[in-house]
This record gives sequence, structure tokens and C-alpha cells, in this order.
Amino acid sequence: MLFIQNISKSYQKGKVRAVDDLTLQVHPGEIFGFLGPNGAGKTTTIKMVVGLLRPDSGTITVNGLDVEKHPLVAKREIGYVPDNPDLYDRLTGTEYLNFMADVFGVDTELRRRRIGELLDMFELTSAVGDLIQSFSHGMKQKLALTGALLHDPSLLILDEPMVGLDPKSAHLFKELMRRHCDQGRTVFFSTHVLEVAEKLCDRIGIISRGRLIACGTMEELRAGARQQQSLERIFLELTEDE
Amino acid sequence: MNDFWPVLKVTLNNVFGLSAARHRYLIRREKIWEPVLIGLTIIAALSSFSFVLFQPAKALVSAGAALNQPQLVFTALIASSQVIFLVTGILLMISSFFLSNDLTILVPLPVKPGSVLTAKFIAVVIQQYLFQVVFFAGAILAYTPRFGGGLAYWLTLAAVFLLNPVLPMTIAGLLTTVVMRFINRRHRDLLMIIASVLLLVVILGFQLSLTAIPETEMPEFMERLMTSRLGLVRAAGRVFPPSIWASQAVAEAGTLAGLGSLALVVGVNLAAMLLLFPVGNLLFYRGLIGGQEVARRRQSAQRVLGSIRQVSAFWSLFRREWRLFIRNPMYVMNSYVGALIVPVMMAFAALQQDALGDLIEQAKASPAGLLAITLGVAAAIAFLGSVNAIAATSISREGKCIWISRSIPAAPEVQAQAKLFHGVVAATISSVPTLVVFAWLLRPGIGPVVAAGVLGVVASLLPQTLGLMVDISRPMLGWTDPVAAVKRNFNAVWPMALMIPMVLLGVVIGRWLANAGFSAVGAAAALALIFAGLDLVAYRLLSARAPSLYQQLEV
Repeated sequence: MLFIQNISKSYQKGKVRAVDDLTLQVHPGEIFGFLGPNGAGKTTTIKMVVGLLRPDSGTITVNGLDVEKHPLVAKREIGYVPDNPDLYDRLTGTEYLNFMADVFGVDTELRRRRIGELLDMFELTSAVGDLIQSFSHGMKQKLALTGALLHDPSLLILDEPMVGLDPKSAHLFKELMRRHCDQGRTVFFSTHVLEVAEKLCDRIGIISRGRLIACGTMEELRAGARQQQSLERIFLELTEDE
Repeated sequence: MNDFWPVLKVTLNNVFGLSAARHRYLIRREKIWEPVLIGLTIIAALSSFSFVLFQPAKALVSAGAALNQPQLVFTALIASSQVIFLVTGILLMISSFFLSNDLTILVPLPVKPGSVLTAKFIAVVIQQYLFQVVFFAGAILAYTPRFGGGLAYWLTLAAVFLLNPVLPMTIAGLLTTVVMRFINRRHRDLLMIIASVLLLVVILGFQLSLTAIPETEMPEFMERLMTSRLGLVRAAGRVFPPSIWASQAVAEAGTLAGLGSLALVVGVNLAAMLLLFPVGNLLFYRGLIGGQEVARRRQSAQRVLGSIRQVSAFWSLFRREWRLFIRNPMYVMNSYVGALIVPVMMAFAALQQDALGDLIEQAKASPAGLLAITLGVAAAIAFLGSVNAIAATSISREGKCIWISRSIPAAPEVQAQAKLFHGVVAATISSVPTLVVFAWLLRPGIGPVVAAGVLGVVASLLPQTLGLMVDISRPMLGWTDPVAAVKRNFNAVWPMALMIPMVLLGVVIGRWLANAGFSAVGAAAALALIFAGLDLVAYRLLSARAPSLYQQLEV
């Protein structure tokens, strides 16, 4: 599904290496958690996958499509929500969703059904006709998630998706991610909430200083650690060594 | 006051991007040619505008000198600029005080609201200096060689220059703060529209008051205005009274009376600015918090789903551009008001002044005259369509939302086409008042009116395409105040700059066509074909370059 091969990204003429020769594979039907301390390179990696940044070297393929060579086709496979959902303040929620559905080519019937379901789930129906500038952070997050799910993407990429969601919405969203993957689709998300990653993810990758320092199922990570312990312990142990 | 200086420092840093510029050009040493190019562009633009204003300023100095009042040029300058500052200040203050993104960072800090308000106020005032330097430069160049000079003159001039926008902007700031305290966020756009209309009324009223003086009485009026001691000063002062003191300070620099006037100017400006502190402390945050209380319309699922239907990606992209623009009163004000003011002022002038009416009659009588006016109208439409900055700031206006355009599966060339189409639609809308005035004053028949409209819009496409390409190449995305994306964006200057050679080209070809015996419609059609060819080349270039330019837009 998602294959990241030897990608690197530097800033300030190579002085700051944000991502360093990162290789990673995410399989269909998998929820993949991407963890790392602040500034480890999580968001930079995600931005390269969705085409917001160009890698200095390496390749990224989504469903076998090189995101740099075939950006538009690859983007059709992806639903993306950034860590801070800046949306168009002077559009209404409905207009934003219509816009997203238009550019992803979702037909009227399908979009009506999906928008109805998702708004109902996130309890946004009564507010979606208002300008986005009146939405709270959590409502914007939910609207961005709704927009990202309209075209039923085969790869859902989320940067810190739980930030700003109330407990009920977070719970519903976790269920939605599981359902999405049960249908053979893939979720790739970054998070600082280790408990969520531990309980929800099929596999976890830990990145530090731009390099992948661990990757596998919880069992595999535990096996690689000094002793059987929680993800939090493993995370701290691994990133402390860096 | 202890908390004021850090807030001022961070506000100036943020608004003018000082740290970002230092980091980029001095530490990372990236694109160090950029500030040089920007500096040269500013100097070139200021020089050309100052040169344009130098001639009327020189005429005013000579007229004033004949009546022993050469300083009248400063009187007119100070009074008119302060009226503009007062009215535009309302919009700028609303935008800076209540709509900027950095408020979410500043408001929770343990600093006094008055400090935040005053710091933001100072940032807005500093931005006005670049605007007023154009006007002052023309007047100084015209006045100083003959009448100026001496330390007292230059010091007074410097003080007047620095203080000139302060008082009108303070009044605008105080008015805004008080009104916003009692107005809900939903009505803030309405307030901005009211301010825009007020600006329109002031400009048109001023124009009307001048043209309402019968031509036969004009010499007596001017004589009366000028021969009475500081007559024009008082006349201008009626529009905005505090301008009297500043004018007197410059006029009588170096004398005790001049010093007294200057002291009055400094005192009043400082007192007004100091008033911002307590008013800000009392009302600013209450106005801000009041703005967060949003009344929500409850909508049923049926109604929401009923409004959902599919359109093409291009149409959807265009609609996004249109809605985001038209729903921001500051953008509308910046881009459309000029298109209304210019033709209406021309209509007033034509109605009130016999000389212009005679000229129109003569033009109507000769085919060459009609041709010249038709092409002139087209040039005005092209100019208004080019300077509206709609296409040239369309990427910059996306700001932090640019991630959406970069992550959706819409081809960059289609996105660019939608932005350009928005510019064309705006140019077409802007052309309507000019064409209505043209049709009404000259009654040239439908042919020249349509021809002028088509030529104007077609000609505007070239500078708009260039502006869009520049904006994709180097957008201004990191703004905190949405107005900055349009008003402080140098990408908007390029289309204006391109208009100068285009008008020259139009004049040369237009003359040749007139000599060759072309009618107004024929000449406009021929020119439209030439510009359409150039548009096509530019459009092809934009479509070809858009994918790589978009890819370089790293977010």
C-alpha cells in the first residue's frame, strides 16, 4: 500500500536533516502508528507522502504509484488531515465538503450518503451550514476528517488526529479507523498518545532524529526491548538512547 | 508600560517579518538578491508615482507663490492624506485589531490589552509611511528648491511626516474599538461594508463639492481661498481640522508661531495615542470576546443534504475563489471600489465642467476622436482589471490553507486556470461602471461600448497572468492579517508595472490604426486580437509552468 524507500529531507542547505534515509512499508488493511519525539521528522515524512514537501532523495509509492511522478493519481488514493486543520474560514462547512467532494470526483448520490453518515457520526449536521470561522478547533478537526473520508481513500493519513477531539468523537473515530482497515484500506497516523497507538495499531514505527529506530507489532517491539514492558517504556527507552 | 515594549517588538517583528528576513537573507543567505530586487522595485515605483505627482505639486507651488503662499502644496497634501487615513484607517484597524491570527497568542499573555492594541496600532501606522512618502516626495521636490531649506524646515517636515497619519488613525482606532465592543462578530463584516461605503461617499462628496463650484466662479473662489491669510489651510481644515496645525507648522517653520503649531501637533498626537492605552484596557478584550459569541443557525439534515450536488473540479475551484474573495469586505473594498469611483468621478466632472463636455462633443463628432476615446476607455478597463490584485495575490490569499490546494488531486494548471478565470470575471464586473458612463456620456452606440469592454478585459488578462505566475513562484503565505496578503504583497505591483509598456504599445498601434482609417470598433477588435495572441502565449506558459511551480510550493 504505502512504500517509503530511502527518503531523506534536509533544511537550510543540508544543515538540518529532518528525515534521514527512512524506509518503511505499510500493508493494506493495516493501522500503522507513527511515533516519535517532537521534531523527530513525523510531520515532514507525512508531508512528503501527501506531496506537500519533496524528498531530497528516495521514493514514495502509494498503491504502486510514485507520488512524485504521478502526483494526481496518487493523491486520489489518499485522504489527509494535517496536525492543525486550517480550513477556509469564509466557506460554510457544507461548501467545504462539497468542494472536497468535487475535486475528488465524488458523485452527488455517494457524497450525500457519506456526508450524511459522517456528519451524523460527528454530530456536526446542525452546524455544517455555518461559516467555518465560527467552528471550534474540534469541529474543524471533525470537518477536515469528514472531508478526507468523502472519497473513501485507500490510504488515510492523519497527523495527530486525536488532538481536539472530544472523548466521544475520539472513540467513534477509532472505531471508524478500524472499520476502514477491515475493508482492506489502510490508516497511517502519527500520535503522541501512546495508549491509543498501543491499543489500536497493528504495527508501530518509532522515528527519532529522522531515522526509523524501531518498527513492528507490539509483540515484536516488546521482544526487541530489554524486558516485557508497555509501549511508553519502550518508547522512552528507545528515544533516550538516541 | 513595562509589558508594552516586548509586545511592540514581537508585533513589529511579526508584521514585517524581520526575524524571518534576517534568518533567510543573513543567516541562511538564501535568495539574497530578493531584498535588492524588492528595494529596486519599491524605489522605481515610488519614483514614478512621485514624478507623476511632481507636476501638479509644482503647479500648486507656483500658484501659491503668486499669492505669497507657496506652502499651499503642503496644506493640500496634509489635509487630503489625513482624510484618507481617517476613512481607510477604520478598515485597517478592524483588520489588525480584530481579525489577525496572532491574537490567539497575544490575548492569553499576561499583558495589558492597551499594550496589545497600541502595538498593533503602531504597526499599522508604520505601514502608512510607505504610502504617504509618494505624496510627500512630490511636494518636497516641488517646494524645497525654491522656498525650503534650513534645519528648522527639515526637522519640522520630518516631524509632520512622522505624525501625519497618527491622529486620523488614532481616531479610527478609537472609533473601531468602541464600536466593536458593542457589535457581534457576525455584524463585523457589515461594519466594514459601512466603512467602505463611507469612504466612497467621502471621495465622491469631495469630488462633487469641487465640481459643484460653477466654472465662472472658480477664479473668484480660488482667489478668495488663497488671498485670505492661510485661506486654503482653513478650507482644507474644515474637512479635517487638525490638519490646520500641521500645515501652519510647515508654513511657518523656524518662527515662534511655527514652533507653537508644531508643539500643538506633537501634543495632540501624543495625547491621542496615549488615550489608546486606557481605552484599549477598558474595551479591547471585551470587544474581542464579544466577537466570539456566535449565533448559530440550526439546520436539519434534510436541508444540509439538499444543498449538496456535484459540479466539475474547475467550477468548484472557481467557486471557492469567488466565495472566499467576495465574503471578505477588505478584499472587495481593495479590488472593486476603484472600479466604481473612477467612472463616477468622471461622470461628475463631465456633468459639471463645460470644457470636458465640449471635448466629448468634439470627440463624438469625429471618427478619430471616438476611436481615441474607445481605446482610452478600454485602457481604463484593462488598468482597473490589472490593479485589482485578484489573480496576482490568489495563492498568497490562501495563507495557511495552502495545504488544501497542494494535497487535492486537482491539476495545478486547472487550479491556476480557475484563479485566472476569477480575475477575468472580476475585470468584467469592474468594467461595467466604466462602460455605463461611457455609453451614457457619449452615446456611441452598442458597437464601441462592447468593443471597449472586450478589448479592456482581453488586455487585462496578460498582466493578470503574469501576476499569477509571480504569485505561484513566490507567494506571501505567512501573513497574520488577511489584508496583508493583498495590501502588503509586492506581487500585486507586477501587473501594474506591465500596464505601462502595454498602454504605450496600445497608443502606438492605435495611432497607426487611426491613420489607416480604422473605425473605433475595427481598431478595438484589431488590438483585442493582438492582445489575445499575447494572452495565449502567457496562458500557455502559465499552464506549462504551473505543475513545477506548484511542486516547489513547499508547505
